[in-house]
Amino acid sequence: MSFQPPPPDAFQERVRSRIVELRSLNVYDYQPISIPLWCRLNSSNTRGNAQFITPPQKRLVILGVTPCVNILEPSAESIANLGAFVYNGGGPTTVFAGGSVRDRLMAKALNCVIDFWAYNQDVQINFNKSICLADFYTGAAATDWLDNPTPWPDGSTFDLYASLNDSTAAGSTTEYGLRLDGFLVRI
Amino acid sequence: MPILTPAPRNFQQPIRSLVAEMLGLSKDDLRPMLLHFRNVLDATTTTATDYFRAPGDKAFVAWEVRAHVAPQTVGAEILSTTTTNIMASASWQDRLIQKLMNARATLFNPDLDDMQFLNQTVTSSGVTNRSATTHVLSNLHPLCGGRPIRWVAGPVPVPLIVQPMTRLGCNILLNDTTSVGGTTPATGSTEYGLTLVGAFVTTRSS
Repeated sequence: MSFQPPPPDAFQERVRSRIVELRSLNVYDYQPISIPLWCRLNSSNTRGNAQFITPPQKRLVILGVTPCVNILEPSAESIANLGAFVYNGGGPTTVFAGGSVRDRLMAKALNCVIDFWAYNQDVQINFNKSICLADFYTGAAATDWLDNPTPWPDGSTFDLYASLNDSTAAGSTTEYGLRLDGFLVRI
Repeated sequence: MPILTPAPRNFQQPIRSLVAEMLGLSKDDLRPMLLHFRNVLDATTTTATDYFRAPGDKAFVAWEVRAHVAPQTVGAEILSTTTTNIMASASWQDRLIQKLMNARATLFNPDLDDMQFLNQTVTSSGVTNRSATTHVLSNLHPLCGGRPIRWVAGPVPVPLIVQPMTRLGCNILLNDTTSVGGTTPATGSTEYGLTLVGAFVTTRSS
């Protein structure tokens, strides 16, 4: 008569992920992450930057980026910031004088340019020129790197630089930038 | 004359799950699930936290995070009387955008310090030019040019795993409660939160 060994403790079993197994990693060796990289700009402060520094001994794998334009104080966002809207028989004085939130968000995205660097590796992710934030912003124009989520070097500093083209059209303080979705992988 | 093999009956074909096959599980070990965090906020109650605890025998595996906003009293969502402000925008989409922009979310695991995958909340007092470290709900919503957070590399999910008996917390903070005319960005009691798309996975030895 043979004895069956008792089943291992269920709580010790770790939920496995195929991609983790492919990389020969323990489930604690990778960490899904979502990083907001944006800075607050307005007519007085038209340039800014945001940083993310990878933790020691970990690489950052970026799966995709999503644009962000966020008006911090909607109650302070006057339509007069982008040209007066005349109701009584007249018309708007600029193409961006619309009173709708979506018109305003689009105007802000068009007014912002960004550069995205892996700082101490001297690698610019947008290779040759600054990108207008509106390039990411129209509809579902967020970016995915699909099957090519290449890990970025450990110990890197990621810098996002943002600046406004037209300071008079900046409106109230607004956050501009990108959100990075991906995961940290232990080396 | 060849005998044609009859087509297999559809209901005999097992329904396969790619994730279940990857994990070596049976269909009874995997339950697709939507996990809903919600907080009811307004101009006077501007922050709250909702929690979920994974059951003792199951892990929660999530690969997508979506934004949630739902006005509780739609009849109270009146327009601003200040016609020179964007709060006077007259469509429901614009009102939802205003609310989404005004809510910041932090998702965190209070039981395991190494699982802070969305950054800490910052207070809304004052406006400076430092970089923000919270997620804003409008960034997760297609109305505002955003999209849900998805942890998927090509066809393969790279999921967030909530271990059994550990918690997830979702904190929501409203930014602007200033009144504009007859209404504020926080007008009307509204649910704000996150919805996580994933599955319960039974934890057991292979």
